[in-house]
Amino acid sequence: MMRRSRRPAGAGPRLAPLILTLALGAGACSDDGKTTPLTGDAACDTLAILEARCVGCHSNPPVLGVPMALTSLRHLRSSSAAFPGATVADRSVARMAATTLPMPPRGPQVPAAELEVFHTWIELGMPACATDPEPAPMEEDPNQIPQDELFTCDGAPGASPGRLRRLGQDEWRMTVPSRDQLGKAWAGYNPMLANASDRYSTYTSDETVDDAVIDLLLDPGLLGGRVGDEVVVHLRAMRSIEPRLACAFTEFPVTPGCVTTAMTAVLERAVLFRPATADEVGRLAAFATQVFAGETAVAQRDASLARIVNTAALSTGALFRTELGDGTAGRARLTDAELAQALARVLGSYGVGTPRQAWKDVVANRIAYTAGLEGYYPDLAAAAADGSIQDPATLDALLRAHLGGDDPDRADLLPDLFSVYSRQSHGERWLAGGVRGFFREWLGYEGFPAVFKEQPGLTSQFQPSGSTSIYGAMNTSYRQLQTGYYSSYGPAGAFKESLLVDQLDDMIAAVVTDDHDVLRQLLTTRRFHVPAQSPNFNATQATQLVYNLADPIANDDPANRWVTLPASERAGVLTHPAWLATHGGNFEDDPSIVRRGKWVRENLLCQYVPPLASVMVPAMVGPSAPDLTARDRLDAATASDECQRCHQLMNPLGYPFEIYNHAGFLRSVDHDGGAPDGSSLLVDMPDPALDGPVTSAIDLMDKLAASGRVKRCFIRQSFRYFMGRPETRADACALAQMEQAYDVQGSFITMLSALVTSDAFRYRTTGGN
Amino acid sequence: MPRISRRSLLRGGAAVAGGALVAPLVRQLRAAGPGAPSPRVVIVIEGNCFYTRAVLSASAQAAINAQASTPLTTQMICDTAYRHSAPLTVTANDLGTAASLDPLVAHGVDGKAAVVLGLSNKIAGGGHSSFQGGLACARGSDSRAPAVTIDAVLAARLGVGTPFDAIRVGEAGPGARLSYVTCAAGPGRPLAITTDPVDAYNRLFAAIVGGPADPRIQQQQRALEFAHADVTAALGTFGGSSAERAKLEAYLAAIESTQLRLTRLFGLAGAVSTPAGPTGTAGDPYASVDPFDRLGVQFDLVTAALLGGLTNVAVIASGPGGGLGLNYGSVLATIPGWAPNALGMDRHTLQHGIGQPIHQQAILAVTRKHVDLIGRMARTLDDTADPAGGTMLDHTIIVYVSDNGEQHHSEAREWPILLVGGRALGLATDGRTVVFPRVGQAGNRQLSNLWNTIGHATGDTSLDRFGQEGSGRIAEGPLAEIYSGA
Repeated sequence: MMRRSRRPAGAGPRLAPLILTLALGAGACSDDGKTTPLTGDAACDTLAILEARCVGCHSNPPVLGVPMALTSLRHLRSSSAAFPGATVADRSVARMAATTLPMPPRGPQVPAAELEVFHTWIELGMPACATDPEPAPMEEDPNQIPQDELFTCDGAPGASPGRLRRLGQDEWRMTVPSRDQLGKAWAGYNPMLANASDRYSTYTSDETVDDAVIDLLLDPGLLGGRVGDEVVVHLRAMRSIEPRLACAFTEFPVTPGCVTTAMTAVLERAVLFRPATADEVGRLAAFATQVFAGETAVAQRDASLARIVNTAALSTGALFRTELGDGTAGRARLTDAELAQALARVLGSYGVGTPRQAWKDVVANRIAYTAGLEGYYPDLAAAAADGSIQDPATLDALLRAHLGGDDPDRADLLPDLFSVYSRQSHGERWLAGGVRGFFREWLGYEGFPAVFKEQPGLTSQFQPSGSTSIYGAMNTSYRQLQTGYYSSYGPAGAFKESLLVDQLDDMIAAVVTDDHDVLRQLLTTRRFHVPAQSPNFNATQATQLVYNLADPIANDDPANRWVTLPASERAGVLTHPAWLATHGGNFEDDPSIVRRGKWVRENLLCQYVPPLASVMVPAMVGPSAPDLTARDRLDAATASDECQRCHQLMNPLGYPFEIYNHAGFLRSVDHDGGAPDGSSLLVDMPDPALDGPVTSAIDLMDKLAASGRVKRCFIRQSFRYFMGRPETRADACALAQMEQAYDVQGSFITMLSALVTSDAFRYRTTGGN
Repeated sequence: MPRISRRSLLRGGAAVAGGALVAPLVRQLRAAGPGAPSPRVVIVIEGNCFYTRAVLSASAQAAINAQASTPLTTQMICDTAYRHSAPLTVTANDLGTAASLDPLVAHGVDGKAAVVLGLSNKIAGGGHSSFQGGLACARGSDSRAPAVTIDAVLAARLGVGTPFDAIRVGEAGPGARLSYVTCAAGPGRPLAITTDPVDAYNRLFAAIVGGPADPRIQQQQRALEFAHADVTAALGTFGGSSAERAKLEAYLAAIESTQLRLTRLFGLAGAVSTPAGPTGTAGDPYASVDPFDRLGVQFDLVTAALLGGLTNVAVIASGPGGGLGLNYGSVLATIPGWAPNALGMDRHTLQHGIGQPIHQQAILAVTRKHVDLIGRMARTLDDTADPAGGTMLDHTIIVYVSDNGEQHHSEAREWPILLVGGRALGLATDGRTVVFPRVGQAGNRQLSNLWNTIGHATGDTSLDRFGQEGSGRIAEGPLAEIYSGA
């Protein structure tokens, strides 16, 4: 039974929040002994209590070290981070009613009548306040910020929030020498995962190190054992360029001077990849001294060093990178080492100075260290060492030197390429891993290997007429495009055909390294890099069909793989099978329309679409039927006004892709036997030039490629990925600089250079909460 | 009545039923007299589903058919036949007649089990796997944990005072070490499932076996001391914001938590017998390529951990995230008529052949094998006295749940459930089957109600809004049909 809230007798006039600052700097965060005026509406009264008693400290963002904002009823509805299963509202009531350490922390306790209001509001299901609608989650989704405001620079000096960034999954792996020996699988199984709720893996919202990571680093049977062993092999090899290491392998007993010298080198060359502080050296030297003391012969030295390295791998500097600046109060410039690491992070997961390998070493399947003992990006390290990296011209030059280019050997693919032979199936253009990663994550196609497709060729001209067994050529070839499982051949089965993801990588690399009118080219190019038929015919006999190519591509000439597809069939990356399949459903008549349309709305137009979790309606189309296309099923399911409130944002942008099936094949017929229908009518688009009818995805791409709205969204997405955070209005100058740079000739590289030389990239705000 | 008390076990000499690794363990349990109840929960979650047919007894089918327009015969998916509008409670105690539940009879725990059918969980979305969706009652994802899962909720309370607040192990195929797609501490906070039994053994028992004098454990302790000093020093000079500082504080807390766990494990040395560890020799189940050998080890490790008081909450995931690549060759080989050259068929392919009777037999046999492992665990727990009275099984709820719902390409309409144990906690695990009305009916209930029931039975009555169903929640509260405290 619902309880009615009670209006307290004699409620006085509503008071503004009163914030007092105490002498010691601690804040009093609540009203001072007053009761909050109540209206009898539990939701609005709860909001009033928040405003009166909580927002002094629980502002948005919070101040004085409090953990969360409480400026909105939405905040109260969220789950408590510390008490699983409880809402913040539950915890708020508990803390306000507590007799020890109650909230607010100072002043009188919240009156019982106001606690009763909270209880009532919770029991009512935490409704909204009708007279004070909750603001949309502006702070949570940058797509809700009006785009024009993000490109209006007021000339104020820019800076990004200072941060501590835990290494990512791949980034951590790249600190370990001979990671091919550790195994590619370690990339998937080391637990340095990015926060999955973040839009891009480069975000560093709240990633830290938990006990699962500690277990893995600590356990000799897991990473803890493997890392140290590999690093010691690397250190031995490095003695030729790092004399500080030499004594550690020869002296017995080892002298105190050697310990300090060698541990400094270990930290700088194999753990921190930056100059070590005296404190860090002292701590590791003390530990190392204990370890060395247990030795009985120098023959035990490798084991000792491995243990020392494994232990050092648990240090803060090994697991986190700082972006806190040079200590200047308020607005600090990144230090030389921090700036070098930040630039390296833009380029990919190889940190400055992390160990590198040469191609031929992998072929020999051994570690020879014939190239690059100094590690990756020695020029960045040198620029950091002499301070020249602070010069924007140097930053620009370093970026351009490493961003991409032509390389028939495709050395950039190390160490993840299965074999040197596999490079033959890749295009000759390459992009730095970070840049490649941006396009993969922005377009989302990196998830393609994990999607499931029932009968991928259905409705295409190649639709299997007989058995649809998953062992059929169509299915086997499609699976090959996903994982490469079937195509091993050549020496020791080392050759693998490229995957669909690789093929889109190659297509994008060609456009970006041409670096002219990049966005338009990305959205309209018809030059695709396609798979060839391998000697393992059964596995690859049908891989080209997904591009609507009937005849296999011969693998005797790399040029064969570059194919210009018909203008009526494909136009750009959003018509590439990898993108279409990643954003398509499992079944041919699934509502892929919604997923593709939503993607365009959010990632090309940078507009907000409420997530399904906030809608809470059964989002289901009706049952499959032979005479109903996916469009028919979706239209029937979303016809109501209630559904259209969201689906009008998605469906019209998804219909044009219905000329393709769920797996990226061009349809020859639709599910009902009729002609494929990619027509749509775009209305109320954020760029009026986009309004009007479109006939298909080809037509839609032409429109999108010409849109200034889309261009700015592309810039915003780039900013998010390469800065590792969402944009805010405070970034307007950096975004405007990026746009100005891009507008010259549509150069993605120049746009990225504008970002890395911007104040937002090079400066950090310091301190605060 | 328990056949063996924990105290008598300490005196040694009693032979008991149990897994290969556990049998020697239960001869020596830690000293334990009557004490405060310590409810325990074990969730066994099977990737890519088990079918209602596997757990549907003859009497339950008859009760359903009495109101069905299209009677059930041998269908694997059953909820479409449900036409009743109020829950059916069938108390014939014939669970052993179900296609995959006969191992419960063999282990003598069929009278301490119950089957719950008809629970929906549409919010999870279905598909090959709902990932965290089954345990979170939210839309799961292999790349994003949507919300806290029930094991983490239970562990926060039941795990206080034990070395491990929860143990999460499983089987994901040879070579797989960790899986992050089934359990979560909250949105974007996946919890690791250890899918290599060697890793699991080391994590659970190495410190007990080796003790503080073991050189390897000493190295771990010193490494932790080093890390603690390093992070403390970093915090002392940290100039970033409080939000960034919190990352270091969380790391420090994790170090301290690991140190505390080691200390607690040392304290169990001599009081807890440990299971046999990996041998590295031929026939070592830890190194087997047969998923059921390895899964069996994980069951035994969890059983041992429960017996030893290492934890009160465990998740055993068989094929987390769908487990489509698992190959059950040893089970397929037992299916009459199964072609030898098809023994390599993986789970995904097996499921796609569900229309063929022989595939149905194979899938039911796979489920039967899971039930056998559950029964083996239950038997051991039921053979052991609980400090709070009765047997350990009476105070332990074993939940067997699909990770995606009713079928291979699930629509999350029905999540068949097998419950074993928990009688002392109020669960009506007396051999009954409860069949709730199908999804779409007012009387339908949801998987979140089951987790709420488990919460009630273990002392947490605050889970009425567990999950993210919001306005899609049909009814709050526990399931009165299987819980006497409701």
